[in-house]
Amino acid sequence: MNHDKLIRRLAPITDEEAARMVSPQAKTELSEQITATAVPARHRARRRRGLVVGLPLAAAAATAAIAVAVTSAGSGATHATPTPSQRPGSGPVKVQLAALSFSTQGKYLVVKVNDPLADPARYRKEFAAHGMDIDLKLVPVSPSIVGTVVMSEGSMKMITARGRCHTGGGGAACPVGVKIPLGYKEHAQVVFGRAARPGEQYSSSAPVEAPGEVMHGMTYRGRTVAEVVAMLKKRHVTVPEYRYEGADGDNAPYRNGVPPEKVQPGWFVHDASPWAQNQVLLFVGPTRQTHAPAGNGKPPAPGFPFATPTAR
Amino acid sequence: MGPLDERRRRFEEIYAACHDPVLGYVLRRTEDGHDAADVLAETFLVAWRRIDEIPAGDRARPWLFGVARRVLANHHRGERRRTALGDRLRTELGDAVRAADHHTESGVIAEAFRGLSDDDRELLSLVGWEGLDTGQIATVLGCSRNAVRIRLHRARKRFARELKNRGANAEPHLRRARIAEEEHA
Repeated sequence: MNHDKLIRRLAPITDEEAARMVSPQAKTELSEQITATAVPARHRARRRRGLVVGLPLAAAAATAAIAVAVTSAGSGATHATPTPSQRPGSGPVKVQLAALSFSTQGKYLVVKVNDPLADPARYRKEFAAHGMDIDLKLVPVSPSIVGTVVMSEGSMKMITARGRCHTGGGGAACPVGVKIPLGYKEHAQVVFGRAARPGEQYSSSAPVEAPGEVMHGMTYRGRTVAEVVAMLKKRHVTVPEYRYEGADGDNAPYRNGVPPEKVQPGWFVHDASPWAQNQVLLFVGPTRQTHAPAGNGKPPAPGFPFATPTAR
Repeated sequence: MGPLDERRRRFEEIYAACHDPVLGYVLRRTEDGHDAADVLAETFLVAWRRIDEIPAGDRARPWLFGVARRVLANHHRGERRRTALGDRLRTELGDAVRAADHHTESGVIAEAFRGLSDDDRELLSLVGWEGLDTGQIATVLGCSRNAVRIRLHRARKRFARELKNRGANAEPHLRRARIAEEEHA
């Protein structure tokens, strides 16, 4: 049965055509930039965690509670090797709530995050208690997408809440949770957004003018840096970072961001992005860019010559 | 995890072999050059960070497609990751894609294809566009070969039905496709 040939003809572009769009320099540059980034601590951390056996007592208790509440999921996973330094043995026992809550809904397990600042190891343990191999991470995000799913791997289903947040590509369909099929055994990762601590850089953000973000309702594209900074000041928002974009979209000579002291007040603001609590990043340059009317749902096309590293 | 040099060597090998196919994969699924550049950069960044998890040999490519697929999905969902990577690539792809004016196929077959669910389309594209077999698709989707076989079978059936609903018979088109291919050869 061969519909495959028909479909092959629908391919918008071939690998060869794609390859021709990119210069050898751009190809090399990306590779060099990637290999220059730090090797993740995540891996090292995971290994170390693998060696530390046992749970803080309270967490173990919490896990057990979940197991009872939902199913009689194997408590065999929680072999509580004594960890004496973890807790004082006396005094009022503070009951630590479970970091996650689980419930079943049809064929799915519904997971909610109770403690967004818990150690990821606790989440993993609680998932493991349900026989699942899921890494849950929380990263600092801009205000309007706190509590939403920032990234997920594996074949989880998204639970969306229309209008709860606005994302650049997803519009108002805001992903607020995941549905995991019962008995799901594959490894998967899911990343939720949490509120950032003061000064902590966002790992992910909604469009800066989305409802709930600091520049909501502000018309700023094509205005001068001086004007925009003044407008932001009224909202108690500062600009710790600038990115440069010249007339032809090129960011030379400031490939890695332009130092604030080099930014001219008369330059124009092309775009903006949430950076940290009450801080934004501005894309600026000496020539005014033409901007599509805001609010058409599409991310502004000429923007994003990103030079902002993700905070991890 | 080997020393950094070893890590870099492996990455560069994978990058050299898979850059074009991954770029093709991404460009076939997004119409925005800037998005494509971001997704490509993010995909290879994931590869760099998780180099130990990348399967050896031929299976690296479908593994990367799997990553690209998730990055793309997150991108569509509105997650825009800020990276310091690939500035030049962004500029070039932004221009190139705008200039290329993505030729969107019209006609019954394209319509029938667009009438399918995202999942079905992705599955059929992995075969038709990326030329993957069931084992490789299983790597992309993170499921078993058997699951791929079943889903593929259903997707093909649904595609045939979409074609039929639109009054198209696959046969003459297939013949045309075959002729075109022979001419091409």
